Amino acid sequence: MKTFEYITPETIDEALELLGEGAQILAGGTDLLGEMKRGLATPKRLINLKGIQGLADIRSIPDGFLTIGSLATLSHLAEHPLVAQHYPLLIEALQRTASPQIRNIATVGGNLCQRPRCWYYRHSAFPCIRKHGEGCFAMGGQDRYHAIFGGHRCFIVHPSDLAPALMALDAEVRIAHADDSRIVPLTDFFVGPRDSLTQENILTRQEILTAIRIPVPPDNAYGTYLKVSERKATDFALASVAVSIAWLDTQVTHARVVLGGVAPVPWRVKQVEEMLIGDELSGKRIERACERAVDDATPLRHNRYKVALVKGLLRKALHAAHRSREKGEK
Amino acid sequence: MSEHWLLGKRVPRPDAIPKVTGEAVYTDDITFPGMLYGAVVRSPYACASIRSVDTSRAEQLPGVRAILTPTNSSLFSTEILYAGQKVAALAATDPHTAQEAASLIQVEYQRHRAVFDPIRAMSRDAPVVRPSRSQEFNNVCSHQRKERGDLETGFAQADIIVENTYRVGIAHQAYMEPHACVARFDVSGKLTVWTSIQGQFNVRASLASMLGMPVHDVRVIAPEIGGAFGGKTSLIMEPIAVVLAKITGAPVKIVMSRQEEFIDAHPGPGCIIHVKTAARQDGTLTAEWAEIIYDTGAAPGAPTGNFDRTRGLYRIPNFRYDIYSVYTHKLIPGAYRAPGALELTFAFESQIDHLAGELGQDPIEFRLKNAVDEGDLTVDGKVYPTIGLRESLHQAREQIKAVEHKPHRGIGVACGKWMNAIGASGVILTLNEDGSVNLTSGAVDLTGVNTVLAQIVAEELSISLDQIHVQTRDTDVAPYAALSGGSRTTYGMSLATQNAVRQLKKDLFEFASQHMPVSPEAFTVADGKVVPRDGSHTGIPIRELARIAMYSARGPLTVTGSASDPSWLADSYIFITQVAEVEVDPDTGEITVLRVSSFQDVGFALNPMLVEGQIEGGIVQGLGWGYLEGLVFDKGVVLNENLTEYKIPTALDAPELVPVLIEIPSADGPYGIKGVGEPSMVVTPAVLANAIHDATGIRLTETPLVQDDLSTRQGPLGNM
Amino acid sequence: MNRYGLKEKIELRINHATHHIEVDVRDTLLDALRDQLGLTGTKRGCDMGECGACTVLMDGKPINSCMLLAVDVMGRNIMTIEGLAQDELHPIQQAFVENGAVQCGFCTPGMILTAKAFLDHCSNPTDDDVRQAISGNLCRCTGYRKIVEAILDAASRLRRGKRHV
Ligand SMILES: Cc1cc2nc3c(=O)[nH]c(=O)nc-3n(C[C@H](O)[C@H](O)[C@H](O)COP(=O)(O)OP(=O)(O)OC[C@H]3O[C@@H](n4cnc5c(N)ncnc54)[C@H](O)[C@@H]3O)c2cc1C
Ligand code: FES
Ligand code: FES
Repeated sequence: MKTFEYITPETIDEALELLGEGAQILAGGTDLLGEMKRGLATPKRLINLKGIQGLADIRSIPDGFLTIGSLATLSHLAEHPLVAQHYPLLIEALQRTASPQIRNIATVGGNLCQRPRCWYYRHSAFPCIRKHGEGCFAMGGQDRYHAIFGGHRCFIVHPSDLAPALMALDAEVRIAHADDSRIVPLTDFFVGPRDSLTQENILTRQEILTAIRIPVPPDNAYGTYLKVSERKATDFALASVAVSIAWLDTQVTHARVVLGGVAPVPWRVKQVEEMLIGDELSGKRIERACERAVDDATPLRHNRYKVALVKGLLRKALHAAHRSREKGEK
Repeated sequence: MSEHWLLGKRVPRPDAIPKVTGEAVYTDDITFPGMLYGAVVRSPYACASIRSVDTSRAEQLPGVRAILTPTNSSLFSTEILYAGQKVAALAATDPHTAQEAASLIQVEYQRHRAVFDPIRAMSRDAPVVRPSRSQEFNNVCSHQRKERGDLETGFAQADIIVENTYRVGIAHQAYMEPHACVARFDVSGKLTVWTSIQGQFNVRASLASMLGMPVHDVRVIAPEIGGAFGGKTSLIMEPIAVVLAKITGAPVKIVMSRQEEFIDAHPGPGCIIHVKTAARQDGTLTAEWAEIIYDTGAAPGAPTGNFDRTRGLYRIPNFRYDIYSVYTHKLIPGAYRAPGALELTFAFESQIDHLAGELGQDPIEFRLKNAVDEGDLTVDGKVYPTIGLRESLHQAREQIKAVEHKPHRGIGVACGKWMNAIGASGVILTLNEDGSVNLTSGAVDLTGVNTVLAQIVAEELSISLDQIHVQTRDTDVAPYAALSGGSRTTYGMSLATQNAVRQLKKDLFEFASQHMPVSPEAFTVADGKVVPRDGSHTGIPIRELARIAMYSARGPLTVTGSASDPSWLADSYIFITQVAEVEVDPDTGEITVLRVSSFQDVGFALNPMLVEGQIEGGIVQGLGWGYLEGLVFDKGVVLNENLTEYKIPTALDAPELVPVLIEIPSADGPYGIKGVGEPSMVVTPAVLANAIHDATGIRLTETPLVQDDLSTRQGPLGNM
Repeated sequence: MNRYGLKEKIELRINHATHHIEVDVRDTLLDALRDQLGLTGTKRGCDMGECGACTVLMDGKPINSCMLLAVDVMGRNIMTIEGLAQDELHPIQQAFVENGAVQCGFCTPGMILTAKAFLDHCSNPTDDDVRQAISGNLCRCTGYRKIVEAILDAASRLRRGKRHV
């Protein structure tokens, strides 16, 4: 690891001022230190955000949002009473994220900003396009963990479990910049390889993700996060699905379906959401939704199984939603 | 029921105490003032020649003390045969500098055509890794044939023939402690090496011969070792540390990173097994043929010599097995817990299951029908003594009967065999003046052997366990001990200890007869005393005799004990049957292993808690190799070179474990014991594959059982 | 605002004692514990946050000490395995010894500290609770059965201990 200057600013403004060429933000460090140890990140300056007051707070504000400071740790979020009350889906996602120890250090902001886990990207022997190199080694190589949606010259999958869950809850992110700060829907936060081959979100070198806001879910909403990984802990998703559904009587009035582990960004399947709204959640409809979800999948040589996984997971999630509504009725 | 008062008891390991407090010292915990840290540069290419190595930038980094390259050191070659091969090394004042310096060394490579698949490597036009031992094929490192009867007749007699190809991936032992060593020369030129190794004396011999030094000028110390499983048997970083220590005049430590472990240690080998098994309609096996191709990577290392040690479970009158090991441009495999057994068991026990299914027979009854018995021949034609195969099958049958059948669940069964080694074993036993006993051993304690040796001494002398102090000491102090491996350690060391303690008793009795009017042969020990068997005297406490002897003309009571066997393997046949219960998620195909029960003949469990520990650990390792683990390569480069992508089981992946100990005493083992260190893992992949087949109707023939097959499994599963 | 360069003098609170040491800014907490303070009970199994051998408690919670910079833990309370036993072994340590939960011992310090933090919050866990809690601590030797049993046993020892107080 190359040496660096290490700074702990006390305000966001100070932090923003310190940003620039060669500077990098350190949150929990569970991803960044790994990248630095492998020589993938070589910051000249590390800006540690932990000295900034209030940046780790989780609070509900009167306008109906839950606001999560970007520096809140994953375990802090998972243990928060408001989360248990309104967003059990988040807890499901967090419990399946990394390991208990990592969750005690890793932050919510860092989880959304973490770099890809593609083994070619992480490996020093493969100068891939995401490292300003030659191309995508997964194409024609060992591609079983790679994308079945949205790939284009690069087939990484977004590694976060939290991101699809937050997206299914219509989360927004607050981004601070020296000149202003803005709020962006999480759906617009991530960028795929068509837009950038070297970064996975819209943040510029001059910006900091300061908070995530989640609206209170609609009445009668049900949410769940299901994940398949080869190992039952400390393992990234082969595929995952975050579903949030609300009803009026038997009619679906609101639906969010977001897939994880299958695309370079958390993959929202709007076409499925649309077909679910306005109707009952019957077995037949669920089957059609599952087919629809993988309509535009373009699997690589060794990851066709992900198509089946997505269908299987979505089927499970929608049946669980359906059962929960029936239970609620009783 | 037992004739022993302490053997067979669940005695905790005394070495667990410093381990739970953090006081136990492992190699990487050792530091010296002025110690330097080594780092290694490795080839990213699998087959190349080195054109040049430019160390100028590294040399300029403050703190770099020495750099070794192919130009100035014979430790490195300019011919690269696998990715990860060491190209250069250096020593620096701290680990950060060492790492940074390594990254500044510039190597220019001329790349060559490489070959990675062993079957490809055998073809006549494949690049030559090393000269072939075969006229017919390229890159053959070794070939043996085992045969009996007449294959054609055997197949002609059959009503059904099952033919499959199985592939077993390369699996890493993934001990939690990466390799570490420290080398230091003292002023007189004597070398001391601390290293994380299974056998101190073989390291001493290898280093002495490498350096042209007499063995007494090389002292090897094995501190506590954080797991090994066969992966810490030979020199790995020691030569580099030694040479760096020599030229810098400072102690040098090298610790392998986890990544280096995955790319350049000696994992269990990859293997392709093409096998044809034949039976009659009534379930009698008639013939078996197999071609077994080991991927031995860039040098000999695949364990091809253990066929008879692990097969020969069924009476098969006609067979032929061809066992090849083949060079490829990949890292060099080595021993992993019961080397050679797991891959063969996976293939052959899948075959048996497949055949039973085709014949519509119960897999246990089918096995029982063909199982070998006392008097039958092993593959190599030795005669079996009393063995526990049937007993383990019977117990497994009872277990299965009790399992409730549920949808999406499957039950699998498979059997395995192993034989333990003995190996040169020596101990020194000293009776202290207070009657306590020191036992000095040179064997590295991996499995709790020192605890068991203490039990033996306490048992034999009828004194309490806390009076026995067993220690593994280094090569300057301890008697020779072969490496701790091959399930030999408890077996061989117990024999040596039994010999020593019996000698000690003899000496004690002789000395006691000077103090009591009783002849030496008439004594026994009871409650810590030497007493005449006929009760004619109240006896004298051993403690008392020890003290008197020390200050008399007799002198201290000290004995040695030795054991060995020129044939290496003991006459000890270990049979196991395992039963696995799995659940398969009908939507996603996810496999959950619910329970694995293991019915293993252990001869006699000197300490059932430790024996269970070996079995439980082994099952979960076997499970890992079976359905999670396997190195993944691209152009010979290991992609999953970390513990996130190389997935060993977590506590959530480990199933309920039911170790059942069957005790059929071995003929030549002390107290009837058999080796238990290795065999538990050999059956698990097979039993998983058979259980998955039972649940889904799909026979998986490649480990890890899940990864690439998930997709193919989806179709049929959807309709389950 | 604190700025640090190559080498820094820092203050660490470890096992209730304050230490002043000089670290390289690149040193992780694990490096500082092992190399500067000689607290070698904390083990390095991967250095990448994957194995849990380096687990220590930070303000009572288990964390991977290999994934935190030493300069980043100033002001936090760190507990290492050396700080657990007082005059005698802690009940968790006793339970590990007696249940055969220790083989090579390399995972043991991290495993025990994880168990400690867990049992501080959960006094009557199930087998599955324990497995969830230790899912970030890899053990290659035991197959986990005896570790889980030891932690369940420790939980009941601790409950008994509490009742007596
Ligand atoms: C062994 C292991 C297993 C894992 N398993 C999983 C898993 O199953 N599921 C999963 O989702 N994740 C998993 N992860 C990833 C883990 O969740 C992330 O490493 C973690 O969430 C990152 O958070 P952090 O605070 O440590 O980020 P850091 O490492 O500090 O930062 C990550 C990146 O984001 C940038 N960054 C951080 N915060 C901000 C901010 N506020 N504004 C702008 N940029 C910022 C940093 O500069 C850096 O590039 C695993 C990690 C490990 C080591
Ligand atoms: S050494 Fe820190 S998690 Fe492995
Ligand atoms: S006891 Fe060896 S890794 Fe757990």
